Amino acid sequence: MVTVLAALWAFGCIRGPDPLEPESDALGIISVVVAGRTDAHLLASHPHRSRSGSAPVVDLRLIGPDWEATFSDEVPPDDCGMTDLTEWPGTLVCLRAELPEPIRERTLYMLSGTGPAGPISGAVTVPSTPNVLEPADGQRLPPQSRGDDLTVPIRFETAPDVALLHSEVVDAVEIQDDGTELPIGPVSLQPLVLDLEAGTADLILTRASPSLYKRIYLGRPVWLSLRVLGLGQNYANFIELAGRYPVRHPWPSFGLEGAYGYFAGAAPSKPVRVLIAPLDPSLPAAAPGSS
Amino acid sequence: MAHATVTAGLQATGFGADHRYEVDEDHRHLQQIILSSLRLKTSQWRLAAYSNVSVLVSSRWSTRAGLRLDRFAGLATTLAPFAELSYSRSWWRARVLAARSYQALSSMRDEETIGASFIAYDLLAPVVDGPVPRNTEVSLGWEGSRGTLDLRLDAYVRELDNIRVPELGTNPLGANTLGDPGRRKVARGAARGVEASWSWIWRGVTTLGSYRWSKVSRTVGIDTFTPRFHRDHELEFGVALERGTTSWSARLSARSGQPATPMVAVVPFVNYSSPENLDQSPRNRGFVAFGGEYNSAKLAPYARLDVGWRHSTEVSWFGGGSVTPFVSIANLFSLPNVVAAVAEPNFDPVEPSERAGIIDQVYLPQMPMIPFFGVEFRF
Repeated sequence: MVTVLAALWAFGCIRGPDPLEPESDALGIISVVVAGRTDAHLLASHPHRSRSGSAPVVDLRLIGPDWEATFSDEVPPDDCGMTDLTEWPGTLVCLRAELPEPIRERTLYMLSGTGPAGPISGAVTVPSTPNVLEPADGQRLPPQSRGDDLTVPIRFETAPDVALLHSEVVDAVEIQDDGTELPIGPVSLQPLVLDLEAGTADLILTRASPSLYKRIYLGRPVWLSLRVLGLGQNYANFIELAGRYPVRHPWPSFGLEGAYGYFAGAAPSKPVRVLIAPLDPSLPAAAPGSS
Repeated sequence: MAHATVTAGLQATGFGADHRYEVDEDHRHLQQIILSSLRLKTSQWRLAAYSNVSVLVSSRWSTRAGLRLDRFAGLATTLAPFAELSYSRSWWRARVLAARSYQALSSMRDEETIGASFIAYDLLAPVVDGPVPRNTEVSLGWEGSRGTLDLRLDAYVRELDNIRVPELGTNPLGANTLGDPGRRKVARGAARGVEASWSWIWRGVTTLGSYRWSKVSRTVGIDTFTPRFHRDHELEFGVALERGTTSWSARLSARSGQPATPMVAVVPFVNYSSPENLDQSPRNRGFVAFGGEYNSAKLAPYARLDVGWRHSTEVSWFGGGSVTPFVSIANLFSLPNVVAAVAEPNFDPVEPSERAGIIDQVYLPQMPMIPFFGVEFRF
């Protein structure tokens, strides 16, 4: 038996276990170019390194129509959306590139450069700008509630190159008795991701926005600037795979070669300003855009 | 002079499956590893006519051949032949066999799930749509017996067609182990291997052993892979010693590792949010685990030692009988035999380690050491 096993081993019929140790040089890249912005951010990480390890060193540039911009400015992780690093693995660096012109919708952008393990490249076509059809700009809505939440029904349309939508509140102000506007500050909004096929969604402003909720409860008129952000297929492919373990090869396209992550495009809709106020005409209300 | 025996028969077989599972809220967690709510009620009739002939050509040569005609109601009519040629000497016998068979039953187990490593039972359901699963095989065999030593060797090549296999892409950690085979993909399979088994008895000592080497594959669509249950090498060795009314036994199992999909990188992310967005609620965090080719990696090998002891004593209770206390221990050394590798983040703020912040990949062990003991009373 020993002879048989030795022969099997010698002929390569017995294969030992594969190592479990993750590759410490594995490089993660996450970057979204957003229509209308004149800068771009890129998060590079070594997710398998200890926090005391070295941060990634990358030399990357964004290539647009007839121009190139280098991700040369190291900026705080907050600028890449990293607000809490207590449960964030490995080491990371957030880089910024200043662009010579705003990012355009339906336009091809490329990523090129090198990382610790060799060349990195990426390509993405920024999706078309989505439109919010309802509510109309300047529309007045009652502070209707569903349970403890304030609900703002919206209707939108997207082009086929939009794969995912996020909803955003980009401005929120209270109309005071003298007509002046007072910024409300952070709000809490659900859902982050909308159902594209439905074409409609209920934006739910939750009680987790105490400043906003208190004002609405007191009957104070509030102007909200709402918009939706259309994200392309590269981003949607990546998000869809979250939580699956592991995602077998071949993977869908994330717009990136030479690193793990995604190179995605996004386009925000034009904001729609709505007034949340009781339908009592005696209450003051300002015209859209007045401040 | 050749001597022939002809056998012929008719057979009708009915098979019904009636499964209804409702997973309530209290057991929702089980849905992740065993099953989800399921209603399956199917039946299948199989009508068959078969005949085979055995011919003793000479004192050393013999042959068998047969044909089976099956009518799977609502599916197909199939013809399944087989032929075997044997050669015998005084203490050994060799044979070659070629056979084809059909079976319109399919397992409800998804062998690609992790849950299949922890539940032992199988459930079958009739195949009611599509082509009938087919097995075609050729095997060579040799067996001999000298004194108290018995030895058997077999080699085979097998092709499986139209089998039902779950579509790839499901998460083996979260997929249901039991499900409706009617929802699975029509797939192909192949296997080839050699098997050896032996037994030897000497002065109250009995030894049994077997070794198997095989290669197995499944093909679903364009994907060909080694199924997760397969181990290339399997060695079993058992020994039992009897002294009067007392017996001791030990059994060693050693197997090469199971296949698994390798993890090449785990990339964290948060949902993208524009800098202008006033939404400050915690954004969804997640990880995307990039894997390699499906089941292309190998887990650690499997080894297990089981031991047992029994002692019988005659008693006069209830008119006479025997009492047998017994002790057995499965996996005596509690070897951590593994069934999967899973990601384990090191984010413990209370006990920070040198690997703080690293997402490790760790083995998911199977059964630890389990003792059994009891008393049998026979009368």
